[in-house]
Amino acid sequence: MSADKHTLVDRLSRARQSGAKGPSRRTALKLMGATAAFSSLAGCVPPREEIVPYVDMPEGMVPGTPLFYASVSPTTGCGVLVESHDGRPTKIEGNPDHPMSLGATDAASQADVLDLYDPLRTEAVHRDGDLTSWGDFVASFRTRVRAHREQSGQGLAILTGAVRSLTLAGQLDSLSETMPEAAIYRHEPISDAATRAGAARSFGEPALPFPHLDRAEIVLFLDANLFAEPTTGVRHARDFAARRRARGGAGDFNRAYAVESETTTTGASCDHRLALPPSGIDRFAHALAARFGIGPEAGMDSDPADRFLDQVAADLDGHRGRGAVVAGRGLPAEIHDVVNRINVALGNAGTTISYLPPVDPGLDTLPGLAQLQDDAFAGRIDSLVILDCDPIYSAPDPERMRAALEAVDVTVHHGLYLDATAKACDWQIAARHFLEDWSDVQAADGTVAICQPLTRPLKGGRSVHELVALMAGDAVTAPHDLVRRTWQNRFEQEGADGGSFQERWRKVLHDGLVPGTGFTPIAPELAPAPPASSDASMPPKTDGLEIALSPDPFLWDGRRAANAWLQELPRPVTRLVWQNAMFLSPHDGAALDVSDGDMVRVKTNGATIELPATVQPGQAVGAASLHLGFGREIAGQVQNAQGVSAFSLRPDTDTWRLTGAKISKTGDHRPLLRTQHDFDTPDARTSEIVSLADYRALGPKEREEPPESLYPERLDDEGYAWAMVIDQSACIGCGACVAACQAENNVPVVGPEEIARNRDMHWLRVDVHQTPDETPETRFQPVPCMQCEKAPCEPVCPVEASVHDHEGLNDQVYNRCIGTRFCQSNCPYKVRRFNFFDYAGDPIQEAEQTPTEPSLLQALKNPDVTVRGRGVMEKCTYCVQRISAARRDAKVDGRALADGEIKTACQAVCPTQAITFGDKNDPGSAVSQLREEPHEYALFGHLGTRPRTTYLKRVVNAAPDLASDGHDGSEESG
Amino acid sequence: MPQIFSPKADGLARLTIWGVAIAVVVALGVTFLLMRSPYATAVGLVRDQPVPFSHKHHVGGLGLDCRYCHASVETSAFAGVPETEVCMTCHSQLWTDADVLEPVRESWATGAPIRWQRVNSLPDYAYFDHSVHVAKGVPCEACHGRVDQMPLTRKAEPLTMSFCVDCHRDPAKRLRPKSAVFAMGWSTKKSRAELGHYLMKANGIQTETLTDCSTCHR
Repeated sequence: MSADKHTLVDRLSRARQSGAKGPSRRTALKLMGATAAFSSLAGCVPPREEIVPYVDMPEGMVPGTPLFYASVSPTTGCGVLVESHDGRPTKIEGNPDHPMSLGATDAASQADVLDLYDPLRTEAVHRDGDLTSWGDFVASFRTRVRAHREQSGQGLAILTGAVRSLTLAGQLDSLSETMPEAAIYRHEPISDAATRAGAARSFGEPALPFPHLDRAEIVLFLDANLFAEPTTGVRHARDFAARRRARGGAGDFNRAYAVESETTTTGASCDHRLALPPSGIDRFAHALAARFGIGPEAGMDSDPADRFLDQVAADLDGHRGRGAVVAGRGLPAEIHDVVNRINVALGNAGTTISYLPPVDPGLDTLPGLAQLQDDAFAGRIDSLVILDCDPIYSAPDPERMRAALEAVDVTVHHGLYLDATAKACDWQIAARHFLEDWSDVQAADGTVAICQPLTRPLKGGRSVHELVALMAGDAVTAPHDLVRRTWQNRFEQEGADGGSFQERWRKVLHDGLVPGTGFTPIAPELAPAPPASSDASMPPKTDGLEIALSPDPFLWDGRRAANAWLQELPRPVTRLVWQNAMFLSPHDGAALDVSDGDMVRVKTNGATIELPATVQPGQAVGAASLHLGFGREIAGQVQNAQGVSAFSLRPDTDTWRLTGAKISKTGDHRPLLRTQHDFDTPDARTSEIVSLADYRALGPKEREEPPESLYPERLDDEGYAWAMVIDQSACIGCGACVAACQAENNVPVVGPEEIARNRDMHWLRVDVHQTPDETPETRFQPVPCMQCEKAPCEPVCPVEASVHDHEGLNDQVYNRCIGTRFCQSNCPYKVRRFNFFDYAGDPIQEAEQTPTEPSLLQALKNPDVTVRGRGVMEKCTYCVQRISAARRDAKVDGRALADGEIKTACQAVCPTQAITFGDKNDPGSAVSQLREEPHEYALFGHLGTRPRTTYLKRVVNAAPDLASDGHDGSEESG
Repeated sequence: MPQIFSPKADGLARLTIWGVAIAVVVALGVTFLLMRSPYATAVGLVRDQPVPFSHKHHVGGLGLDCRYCHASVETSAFAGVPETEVCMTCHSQLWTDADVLEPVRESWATGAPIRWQRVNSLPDYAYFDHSVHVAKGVPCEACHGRVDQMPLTRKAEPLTMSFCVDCHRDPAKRLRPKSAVFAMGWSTKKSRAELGHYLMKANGIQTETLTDCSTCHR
């Protein structure tokens, strides 16, 4: 791929510009002439289309019916089921059998299919930017490797990220055996180093705490945004929500506390949240430890914090063995140690918290980037192979990294994108997307799933296993054979209980996981406490703003920076898209004289970045938060010019907090790109909350008579009547539903320019409501189309494109729509979206004038959903294609639809199962029962629209002693 | 003062007024007829195919069942066009030298698929499902005509929205017992109306939801 290729969005906007300018007069005349000629020639004969059947159809294939294959995402390690239409993977679902998925995925995994078809992905093999072939590379590299092998690997170096594949780990091990002098380095920009080191202090070996939130009655999150973790977040969210289901009295409701700097999905989901800067969180941990006899006596320095501490300590003390204290990766190892000791003292360790060995032990034992740079400058590296990481982007000092690469004789980069590191290397080898490759990936709990390809490599990529086999001099190089060999050996070692290898292998591929591979937790036996030095145990208050870094929940370490769906997916609390910003508390914003969108300059560690600030209520005073993962350069383009990389601010890869940074206002202003602008909820009728005690006191549901309506009365007591209930107690605002909806319904990306005009296209949005306090209560409200029974959009449509069906769906008939937008104006929920441009057309072809072959991106489209053209209104219809498919299947079988048979895309993906969908005419259906819950309510019910989508109020289990703080949800409602 | 309008002017004016009115009506009529004519609906359309496959020979003559080649018609939205392998089950034994079958043999030998030209097509925003129609007793013949009498496959019905909706409003007159769905030229000695009424009930067909927009458009 040439370097002048542009990003998808760039090309989108170019397509728009060319559309806006229109053809010249001469072209227009030519086109008119051609149109007349063609219309007279072609008459009304339908356009020619081909039917191309298989020569020999694969077994089990039914043309026109999707197949599902089990696989696994290498980033998350969570098992997935991939939907494939005639060989085109189009949608990812969670694998219900996989313990880290349980049928759900996070938002980012939904966008993995877009990467597969991404036109920006690098192709085949390049040498210094020029296209060459794999054969050339092998010929050149094999002799080089042979020379290294003769010197037992001296001069050969390999840099990888965390290795989650057992086959790859085995390959690297055997390479180290045959070439003991070869150096292997690890670089994981978002590392758990402090967590592992903390466990090593406490228990003598590195481990990662895995809280079982379904067993914990009291949870304290210390700067731990657990639900945004790619590897475990989905499972943690499910477990957490299992203790927050307000149904029939809600006997086992948990109580959750969060102490954090920035408002995160996890913190917002808790009953009580205390905003403290990073140093304050450390103090809080020490003070809490002191309550349980660990370390010297200490207190907090403010009254609210002291009261919070008292309450948390009392609750944890009252629930020994049934509570959990969870520390985030940003805390220092010493605090992790303290937290581990608290959990052991309370009897939580081993009951509500397991300590699991890390998936990649190499992260603790192998040298990192700094050592690699030193070795390169010392001339100890002749050949360096970089496996799918971008150290020039994520290194603390990019220029030093670049110089290090230059100091190496031959550098080989293996990755999906032509990123900054690839460009600095001599060879660029296209990696395979995981939907094209064989591999095996270990999840955080140890469960291994096999990654199997759904399509041939679309970009001529090569498997990482093949590349390492080449280096190791392995006779077997086919990735399938390598992965199969790993498991054949392992099954043979285990004995032949499970039948023949072939049978077991087939079952493993079918089920999507290898049974019995989960980790055995390590025994939480405390090592003696390190001697407490008084100044270390009580960090001093720092002057000035502390900067807290954290990974962006979607782009993570930047590996997904090229993904337009994720760039445009609103961030959980801030609703920002296409950019990162510095979050400041209202107090610090005022001190710096900065308001939303004002540019600030951050200077520390010899690096300077400039980015917009946003004043976030709920942000800790004294803490400025920044997200990593933005501003990565791919294929010559900085991925979204609005995002800024903050990696360069870090002195090393394990640093998450910066003190002493100089933050100043630049005077520039750039309006923030966000999909929501008002966060206050003056109208109490939106997004209500109810305290657990009040909920328990509620009697049976009393349905009010809805207001009189002039709209036609429909009889809907026969047949199916679709309805949806969204439980706001369970919703954590993660955005997975929005991403799933985008993937399922062919929802386009509009780009930052259009976002600035408030023209986002997501059919489903998650509204954030914050109480206008200094310590706001944040709640999330997913808003799909309400499918109003008295739908205001319908009578205003002049062409009857917006019509009701007999099952209560508010259909949008795209082929009828003429784009008056009256319906959008008349919709009180603002859930209708208009195609201002031909997003569905092929922007890349239009922009590049190559109408010869269809774009790869067309293969991504879900064939069961109409692709909408310019000038057409579109909206959520409860995934009518899924309803229709299930109904047709039931009709063919001659039976009625069962409850739960239809899952909308948002419902299927939801990690917390907050969304329930079904037939409200069936009194036994889950949705009917939820509609009878006393805390069920309709959004804007007073308007008389009688929405079919209704909500369960957020139930908050406030602690009585903290109830007057205002941010705890004790306010009376309903 | 001389006359501005000659005596003929009045007649001319009347002629013009009537003429325009008639022209509008005629134009509308012609358009309407044209829209329903085979010219617009392409009924009778035959495409050049790589192999001049004769349904008349295979169905009418040899009596092959539709499902032998269109295997997924009962299970999928798409009825399925036979893979080369299906052709070769017979044609590796029969007519092994026939010139017209050269593309089939070539496809089998090279692995390159045969590229058939579509005859019956629906717009992309209309979603049709063969399996449910077949399961409910809508015969192949209702949309594809007497395929057993077609030496070359041609489009038998207009397949316009009004064609679909006519049947969705009142399917009874086209329904057949399940055993006769794949039959060509089937007729019954019973009362057609009674049979239709019975089949509507037996198959649980409710016409009110059949004309919902979401039945075919999503």
